[in-house]
Amino acid sequence: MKILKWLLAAALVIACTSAGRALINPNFTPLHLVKQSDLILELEAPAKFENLKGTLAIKAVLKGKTDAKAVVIDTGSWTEEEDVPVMEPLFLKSKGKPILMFAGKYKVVTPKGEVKEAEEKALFNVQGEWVPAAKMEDGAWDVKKIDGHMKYTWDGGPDMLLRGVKYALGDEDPQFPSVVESSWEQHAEAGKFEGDVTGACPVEVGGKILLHVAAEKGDRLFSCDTKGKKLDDATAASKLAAHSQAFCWTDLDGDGDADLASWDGKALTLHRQNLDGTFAAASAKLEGAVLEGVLNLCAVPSAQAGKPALAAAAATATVLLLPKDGDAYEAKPLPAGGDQPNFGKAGDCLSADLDGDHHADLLQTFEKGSLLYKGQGGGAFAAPAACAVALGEGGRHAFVGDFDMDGLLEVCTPNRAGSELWQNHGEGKFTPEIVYCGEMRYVDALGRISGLTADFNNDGRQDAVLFYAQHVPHFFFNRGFRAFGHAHLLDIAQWRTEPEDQQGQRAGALLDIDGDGRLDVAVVRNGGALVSLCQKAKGDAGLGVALRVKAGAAAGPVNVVAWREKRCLGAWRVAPGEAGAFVGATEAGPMTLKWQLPGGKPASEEVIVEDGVLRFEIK
Amino acid sequence: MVPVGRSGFATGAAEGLNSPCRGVWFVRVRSEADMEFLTPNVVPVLAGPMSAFIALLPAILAALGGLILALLKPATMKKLAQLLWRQKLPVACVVAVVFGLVYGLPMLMPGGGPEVQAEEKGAADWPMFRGGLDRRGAALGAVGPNGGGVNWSYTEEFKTFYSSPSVVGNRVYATSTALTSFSDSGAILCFDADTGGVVWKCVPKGYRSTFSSPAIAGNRLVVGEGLHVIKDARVFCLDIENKGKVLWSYATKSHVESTPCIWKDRVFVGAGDDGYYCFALEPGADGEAKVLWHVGGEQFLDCETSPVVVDGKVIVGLGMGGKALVCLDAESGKEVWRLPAPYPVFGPSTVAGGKIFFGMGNGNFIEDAETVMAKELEKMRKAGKSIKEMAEAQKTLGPIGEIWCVDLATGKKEWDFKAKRTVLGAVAAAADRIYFGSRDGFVYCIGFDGKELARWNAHAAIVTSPALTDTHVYVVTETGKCYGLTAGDLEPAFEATLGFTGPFLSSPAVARGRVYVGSQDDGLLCIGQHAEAETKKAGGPCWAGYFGGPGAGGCVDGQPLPERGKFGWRFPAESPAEGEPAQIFAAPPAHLKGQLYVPVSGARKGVLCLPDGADAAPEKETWFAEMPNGVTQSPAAVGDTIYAIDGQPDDAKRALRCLDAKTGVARWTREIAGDAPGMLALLDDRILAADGAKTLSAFDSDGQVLWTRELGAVKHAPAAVETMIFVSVSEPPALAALDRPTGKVLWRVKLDAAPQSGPLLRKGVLLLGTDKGVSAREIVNGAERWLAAGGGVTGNALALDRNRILYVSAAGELVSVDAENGAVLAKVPEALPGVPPLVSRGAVLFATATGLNRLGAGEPEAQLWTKTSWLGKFTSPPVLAASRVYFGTDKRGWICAKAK
Repeated sequence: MKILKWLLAAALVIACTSAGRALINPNFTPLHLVKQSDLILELEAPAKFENLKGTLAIKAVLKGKTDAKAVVIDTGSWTEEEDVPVMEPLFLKSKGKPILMFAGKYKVVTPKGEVKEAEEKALFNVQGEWVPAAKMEDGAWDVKKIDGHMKYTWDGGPDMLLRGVKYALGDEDPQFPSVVESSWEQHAEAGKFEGDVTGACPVEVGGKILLHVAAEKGDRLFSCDTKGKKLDDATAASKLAAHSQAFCWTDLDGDGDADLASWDGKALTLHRQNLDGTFAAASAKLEGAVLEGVLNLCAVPSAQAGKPALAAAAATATVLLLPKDGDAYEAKPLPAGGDQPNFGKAGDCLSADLDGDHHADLLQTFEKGSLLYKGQGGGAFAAPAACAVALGEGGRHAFVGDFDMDGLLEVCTPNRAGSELWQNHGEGKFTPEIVYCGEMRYVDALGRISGLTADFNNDGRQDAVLFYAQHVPHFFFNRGFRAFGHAHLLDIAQWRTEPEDQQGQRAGALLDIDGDGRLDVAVVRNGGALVSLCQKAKGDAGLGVALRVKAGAAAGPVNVVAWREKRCLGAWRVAPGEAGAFVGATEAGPMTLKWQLPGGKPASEEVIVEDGVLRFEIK
Repeated sequence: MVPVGRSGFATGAAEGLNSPCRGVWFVRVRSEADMEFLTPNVVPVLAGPMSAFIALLPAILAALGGLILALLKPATMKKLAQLLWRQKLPVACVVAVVFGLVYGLPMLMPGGGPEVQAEEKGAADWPMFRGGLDRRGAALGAVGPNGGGVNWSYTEEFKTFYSSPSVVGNRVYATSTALTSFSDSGAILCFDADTGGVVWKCVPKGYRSTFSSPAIAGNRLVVGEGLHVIKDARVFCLDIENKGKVLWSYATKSHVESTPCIWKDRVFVGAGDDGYYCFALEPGADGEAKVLWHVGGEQFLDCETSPVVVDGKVIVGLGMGGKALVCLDAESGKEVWRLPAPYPVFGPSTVAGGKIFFGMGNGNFIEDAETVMAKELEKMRKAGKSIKEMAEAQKTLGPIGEIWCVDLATGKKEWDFKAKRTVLGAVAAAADRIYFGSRDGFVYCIGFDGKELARWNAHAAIVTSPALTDTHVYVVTETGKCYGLTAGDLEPAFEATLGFTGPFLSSPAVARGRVYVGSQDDGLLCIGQHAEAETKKAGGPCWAGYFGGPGAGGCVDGQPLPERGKFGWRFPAESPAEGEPAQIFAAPPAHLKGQLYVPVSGARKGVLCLPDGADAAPEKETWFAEMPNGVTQSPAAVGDTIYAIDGQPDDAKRALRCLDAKTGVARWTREIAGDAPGMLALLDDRILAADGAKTLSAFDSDGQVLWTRELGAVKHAPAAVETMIFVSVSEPPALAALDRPTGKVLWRVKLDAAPQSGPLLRKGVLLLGTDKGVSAREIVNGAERWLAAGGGVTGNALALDRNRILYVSAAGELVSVDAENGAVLAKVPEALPGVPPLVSRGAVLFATATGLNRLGAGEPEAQLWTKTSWLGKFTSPPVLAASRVYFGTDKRGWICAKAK
């Protein structure tokens, strides 16, 4: 009987939760909630329930005043017939996590625009669930059931809501975006790819941002025709002759220009950029270990100034390619951690400063876990530490972004069978939090194959774009604090019904094709066609800062943290030789950029975003 | 999936309709699934039954009380009745007096609203949409405005006007909309074109929110009813001479968004899915509407266009289902010819030079082609259509717009012109060319031969029809902007903001030098003036001096202050190199007729003329008038003339300079004393300047001194009535009244301390900013009537907003004072002392240490409007021009902030 009760409780929780799907209420955001609350408390979970009552100690008074030291909740109004123990486990299991209580008289305007003048009540946020409560005669709060509709207001984690409340109370002009109002212009087809396409990314060539599409039958570069709002094939002019199965852009020779390291399945070729923006190929002379089955490449710092090393994720091991003289590299397998045998198949290796110590780390991902090689400076890496970040079965790709805007990069692992977002707690500790990520959790959750981080709505928050095996790509805008909303109007399905659009993508990238300061999208459809769509936004041209790290300034990726006055916009991963990062701005004004180069001192600079996109290069 | 529009109503295809098409759809959201497209700021209007109940509550309570008394104490009721009978004469008198007060007085003193002038007779009719065959939307020979802001707006009973005004003489006719969660009502209104006074209002029983515009011929006004979802919309014919009395009405079986066309003794109108109708203009013998013929919706699908009749031929369009242009015989309704079109024909036909011009395309008034397409495809998907079928359908549903030219005689197409998006409004025809706006954001000018002559990018969709005069074309965009463009090359010459909340569906009508147009929340608006006409008469628009003149609050064009602001641009675009001197913008500019006249000192010295209303930094200044000392005080502007004081106290060779507003070329110069305060103010017929340390002089427009009076140091702008001028004197502190023609001192009262502002006149009372607050003084002798001790006034100006006086106190508060009795209404903290508040349409903008805050009408707390601290410190207070805020800063020069 007890088991039945628990099952019923679980079913109820799921039912309530599902009611909150696929909607953000623009009329009652966390801002409305905070503004209309007379009292906001941060509470601790009760140690136990006695006589259906639990006592929650007040940890902090965030808004309003109270002399009380604790809040008492009462689950007693649940009748015998419906005696489903939903509330008690919900509150008890919240130990160690914040519980938030909002009290006030709320004028809730539903997404439909209906005004609900409610009586005075309290709203508890427990483990991401919303529980309304009425005050009883004895002062206790009568908690009954989960209110799924409040997820229209906030569908993120309680820890993030706590930060959101502090932000709403402390910022002069707080915002919780509810919608992305831009859409797409007509699509333009730029070319067709036969065979496998292994990736796409923007890259700076000859001072201009080009789109690179890596393909087994020949990589191609595309220039942006800003007037025509389309991509033009610039491969022939660039003399790039690569057939990449795995690749990375970095400054191989320390001359300040982006070069391409390309693995064609058999050999590593170095495509160095000349002064005129053309490329010259040279075969890398590999010494040491035999390199085979390369899944992807990334650039990491090396001991040799001006020449990065390359990390190659391979099926059997992660191999470090250490630069030597000329085109020579010494292939040196990285030590495997004790847990690696249990991690399943390998996926991408990522190079980023994941622990915030200003040294680039290397994360080798696997299906069931990952190995973190902490960077120690001078091209040295510590022994691997097992890390929770897992791709999931069949997963291959991962990308990073500071989605909770705390200066540490999260890792997102899109997977056909179910994606995950790994919250970075520092020092290599990650926890899975996709259940607290708003609409990213459930809007077409299956079939994702890869993704990227980009601020596509120019609000300074890092958004996520996910590509699918058999679906149109989805754009998830960050509402701040790792809660995402689905940008319906940017969902290509709204505009494109061509069969190919529905059949997934092989690769995709975001770059400003039409020069309006807003990111546009280019995807290679599963059918092989490269199509681009320019973003059509209301209002002025987009504002923002294009961040670059000058090659030579750092040997690996650097985290640049952007601030607008007291508000942290998060850390952007910026690597030399890559196209850089784009930090959008909703309006003109100053932006402070903070970074620390490996072995250097903390640096910061205030830039004024005034008109269009400001280019900022860390030298 | 129905997009939700403002006011809590969906704006999209009505559920169940297979063919979303032209028209204005307002459908309530029906399910959660409908909520997928959400727009912010969805705040429903709570009115209707609740308001009515509250209004009737006292009467209901009284009736209930009486009933209870009658039931419980019948004897008391009987005694009361006997008493009333005994006192029947006094009771009857009291009842008569009360009745007279309630009903008679308003008839004698109609509502205290704007004046209604006698009707001008003999004006041309407005018998069809846009007034005539050429659909110019302008009165015959009318000139349009080239400057000015809002002359009047009607928002008293209705705030929403989707219909396009029809103008006959000095009368403006329009239908209104009042759509709330609980009610749907509308009215047919007649306004005085000059004052905005309501001449009459006709509210037929059950009349609903209406898009159809009135057609007027003689004493008859014919109009439709309702929006797109209505299924039983009526056609009404009113008797204009009889204050809009309904002569006849006819209930159709669909909606009547079409505007009727009156031709001879007949009326032609489209009724949506119910085909086209032809009525007799006069009622039948039974007093009812007389249907002469009716072509049903079966053969004539989606009859939305407004018909035009020429040579006995009725030209109409067919929308989603029909996709054709059709010619009917006016007498019989018989189809003469039908020209199939590739897209829905929603644009009304225009007839000029023996040709028919009309627009078509995908998309409607509310939704662009993509949205309509997405819905259509979604419907197909739900209907189980294959991807191939959907892909096929998609090819015809994308964004496209076309204009066709058809031979009137044969019905054969002569040419077409392609726009990127649909053309929903009517084409306006001149002698050899046509003008139209498109959803693609462009205004086009096309020759009768189909060749493009000019185009102008409005950067916003246009779903309305242009209004065309001999020299200008006026368009209204989806974003609520009204632009006047030169008819020759489509160069912008006029701009006004109608409001910030859309949709803007009303097409402008031009008459009497003004534009008449409806809006969503700002009512029916009369905007702009024609400069040449205005400069000839006294009382025309002017910028009277510092901050626009006494009480102006930094805004004289009456355009709204946006809800939120953001940095727009700065001038100059680049800061000077380190060590180089910068231009200093030390005082607010003058603003008149689309130009800002900015005082400049420092690196450049003189007056800078810049266009207002630009969304991006102007590529170059209109002109710069160099002056030896630089200008540190506000210029004044009227007509085609600018006045400025060159230099500040202690400068040499200071002067009052008069400039040509168009070129900046000096017309005349009058030297003033080096130690003169340099205050400058403009009256209707003269300029006042503090031209000596202790003297005030009046100059005529040719620079001749009319009089000079020694008063003491005059640092603040005077106020004036027809015969008197009121001056606050700083040293020795005093308030004085002068005889306007001679400058003779009529009275003078000593003040305890130097005044902090010039006097401001309101309802015969002088209001003066002092070191304690606002002092109200009698106009006849300067005696103090009351003192509002809200704290010392700073910023040299009081702003007047209806019944409130606003200022920033020395204590750093925005103080609001009741202008009637001096009660301090509110004090809002964080205001920056020394920077006066900007006031427009009830909203107040004030400077803080970090930015600009906005206090909306009726709002208890101010909100951040935009941050400015990164721009530096304010060097001049913000002024509002064309809904943009302009101010000077010490770090980044001259700033334009615009709507966010």
